[in-house]
Amino acid sequence: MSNDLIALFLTLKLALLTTIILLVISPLIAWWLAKSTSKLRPFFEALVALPLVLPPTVLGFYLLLAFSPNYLPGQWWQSLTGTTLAFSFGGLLIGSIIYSLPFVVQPLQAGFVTLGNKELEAADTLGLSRWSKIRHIIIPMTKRSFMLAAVMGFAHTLGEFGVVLMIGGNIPGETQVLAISLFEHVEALEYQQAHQIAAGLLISSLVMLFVIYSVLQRQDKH
Amino acid sequence: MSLSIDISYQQSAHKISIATELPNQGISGIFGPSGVGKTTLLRFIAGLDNPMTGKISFNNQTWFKPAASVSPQQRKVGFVFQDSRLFPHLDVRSNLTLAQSQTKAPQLDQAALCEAFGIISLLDKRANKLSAGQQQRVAIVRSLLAQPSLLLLDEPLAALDRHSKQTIIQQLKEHSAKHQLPMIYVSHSANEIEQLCDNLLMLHHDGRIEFGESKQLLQHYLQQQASVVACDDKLQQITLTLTAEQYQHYRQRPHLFISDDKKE
Repeated sequence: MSNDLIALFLTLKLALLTTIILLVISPLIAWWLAKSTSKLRPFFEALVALPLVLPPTVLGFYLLLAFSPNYLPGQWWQSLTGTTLAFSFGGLLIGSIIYSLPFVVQPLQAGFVTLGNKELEAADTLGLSRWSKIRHIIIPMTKRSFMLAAVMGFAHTLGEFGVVLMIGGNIPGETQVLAISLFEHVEALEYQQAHQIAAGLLISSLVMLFVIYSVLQRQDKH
Repeated sequence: MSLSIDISYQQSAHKISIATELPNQGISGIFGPSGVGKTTLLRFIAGLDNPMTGKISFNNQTWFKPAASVSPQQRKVGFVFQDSRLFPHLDVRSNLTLAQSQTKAPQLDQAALCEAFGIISLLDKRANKLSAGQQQRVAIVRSLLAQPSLLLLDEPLAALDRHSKQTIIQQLKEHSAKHQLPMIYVSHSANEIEQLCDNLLMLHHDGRIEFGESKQLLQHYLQQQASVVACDDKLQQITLTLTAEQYQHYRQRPHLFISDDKKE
């Protein structure tokens, strides 16, 4: 199997795992941000949004330090697993989760704000438990936000470059994702291979966004 | 055995203190002009909000005391909101089934209840496609199907036409009597209160409260400050101030429409 194909599978695996993990943790964060009246909320909102404005290399740099055995998180990980997070798929996954967090949290937060309290109060007075409210009211009523969040998280992870370069390096089969592969081909003046990857990423991203916006538009009409 | 309320809360500029006991049978009304805190009181009883201080208990079970509030789920209080609050992503049938599925031992026949409240033909429609009046009828049936121990109704008939109002009022009375379900009915319509309620808690703008037999209290209220809106023979709206006797007299004349909603 060529390195590019390996990079493609690695990229899809990374994007899929990142999206799944983000869809588990983000609803809790988004719910708190949507409903909390705490004075600390703007700080945490800023923290979640940080990857939107921060150069990915800055995030990557600090993650690289955190993963190194010279600092506490890296030491703790090494004593637990005997390996380092830097230049590993696990490290890449953590970086991706942090980097794509706002792309998943923000659509969910907007959905939860729009949902309001009215239907939830009605559910309370009908005796629905917390889990029943999540299952029967919150998730179905914010379905479009979940769909948008999943696609944005997945598509954004596909195109990740800066963070991966800093913490993952360029190890085929372990940390070499498509964006890195593309960079490598360009450096080696292999423009034809570079074209294949670039056009592939461009078209797949466009198709994904087109499909999700079409689905959302169709839902609006119902 | 009753609903005991002894609470204080802030409503606009007034601090309102209420200390009363509502019977746990039949239909009790809460009556008063807009903005006097009727909905606020219902929300306290349901556990959706908490008063500043005081105590609320139902059948000797404390629902609220300072720093301790029982959740609406544990209170088993049904609430028909002014704005119906059906789940818009579900059809009518699913709204009803979801409510009924929360009860451990469903005792009500969903189809019979739908028939009685005239919503059989709406069962397969999406909740957000119904008219306001239809939504309210579905909301009432949904609350009944959850088999609450106390049902609170916040001006549930505001969006209904005259004929539908009569039907629903009759059905609510029958249901309350048949299933021994106590109800608290909030309205600023003396007509609805008079037809439906046995007892009445009357709230005034200045923070005063009165509690007693509903017909008696309403008569007294209308005598004191009846201000009704009527139409004259040219169908122009005129405002009359009537004594209770005059009010009863005009209400019985079919050619003269009198709305007994008190206008501010």
